[in-house]
Amino acid sequence: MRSFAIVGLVFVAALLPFESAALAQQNANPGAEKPGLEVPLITPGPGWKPCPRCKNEAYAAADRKKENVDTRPFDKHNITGVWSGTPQALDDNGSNFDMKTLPPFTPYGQKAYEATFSDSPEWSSKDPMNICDPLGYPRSFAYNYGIEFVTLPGRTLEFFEWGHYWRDIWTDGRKLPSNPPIPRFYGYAVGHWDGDTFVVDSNGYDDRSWIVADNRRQNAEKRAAGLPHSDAMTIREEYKRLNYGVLQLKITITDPKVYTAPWSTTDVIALSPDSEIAEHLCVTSDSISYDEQNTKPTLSSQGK
Amino acid sequence: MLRRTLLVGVVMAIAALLTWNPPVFAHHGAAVWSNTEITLKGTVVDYFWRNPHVLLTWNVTDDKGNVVKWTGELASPESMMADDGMTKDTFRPGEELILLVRQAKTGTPNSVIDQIKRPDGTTVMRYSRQAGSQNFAGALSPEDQAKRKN
Repeated sequence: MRSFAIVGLVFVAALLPFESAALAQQNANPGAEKPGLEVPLITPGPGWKPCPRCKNEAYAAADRKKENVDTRPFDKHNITGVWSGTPQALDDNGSNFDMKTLPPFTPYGQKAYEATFSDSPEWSSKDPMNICDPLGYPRSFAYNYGIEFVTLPGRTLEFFEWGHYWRDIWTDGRKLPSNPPIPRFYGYAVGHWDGDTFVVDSNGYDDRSWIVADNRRQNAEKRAAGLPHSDAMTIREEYKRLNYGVLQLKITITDPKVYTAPWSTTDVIALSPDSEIAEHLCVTSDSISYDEQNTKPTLSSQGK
Repeated sequence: MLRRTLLVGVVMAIAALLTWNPPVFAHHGAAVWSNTEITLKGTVVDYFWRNPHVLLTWNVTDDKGNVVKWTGELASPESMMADDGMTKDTFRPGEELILLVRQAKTGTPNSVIDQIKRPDGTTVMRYSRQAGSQNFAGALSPEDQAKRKN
């Protein structure tokens, strides 16, 4: 145990220069203090709680402190609760995927990737999000305004605030379908406990969604892009509750049509006590209206 | 207990270091906006308290009496509520506002809003969290602006 901790600390130290640069970029305006408890907390009314993104980071931190999330006894075999951001950044929009470990594309995958490139450097014109197509899984996990796990007999429900989507993770012993009859944006998912780890396997995905947006923008024209997947994608999720307020996760994506190797990413997410999932719907007519009023007029003719 | 706490901390730190990503942009990035902030005094036309971004439109009348309708981007309703205490009732058509904005490079009256004040000096929105706003937090105090320049 001790040696693992030491190795971890050395690893962290080795990465500090990179992270410092990243944080410097993130906090380019050091004088801009984040909003805090001086901002009034707005809820729908007595007895109602704010959605995870409806309270700022200071309130989120105060709620975690009030609930003693770091020391409170917890059931290792229950991940029920509202989770949002990371312990280090409670206002993060979901979980960040480790882009540095992304395996190379197959030839088919490279073409699928290039098909996601935006028409211009000015906006992400191919992003399904812009027209409110379902984000699908795992993008709903990677980009969300909070999620909620609800444990029921025989299944666990996973609600996503962004888009107001949910999926069923069946825990009644059924197996994944060998040939799912209808592709799903949120796939077919089954779960079981392996020791203290909740393991979720899924397949049957609709290939129109992105795994995540590609924020590296590494293509030559610096155009926005997304990471594609095929209908052959399978995903294994492994959740482990490190303490009452922190959930560790590992997501492994296997898609031999698009990627030359499985892709694993690890993160931790934070419990958001005293929060309720609300209704952040993506309304197509609203998105179109917004783009017509304040997006398209800002683009050069190339991008329209 | 100490070992366990240490282990949890190390795992969390490693995960955080490995997974930092720049912010996403779905609709457009900072490149479409001018690098110069301008102050506009206008009258609210519409206030769309909706996704994907709250949108404010207002009329600006020039010295010759010409009226130009502007649009301005804010963050999501949740973010505006959490960080500024704004609600669907914050603005009403016809009321005057003083807005610090970055205009679209196309020269059209479209913008991202960096700060909103009322004529009595009350600050409604202190600074933006929108594209590129980390370099244009117009609501900074003079002292903070000096720090930024240094």
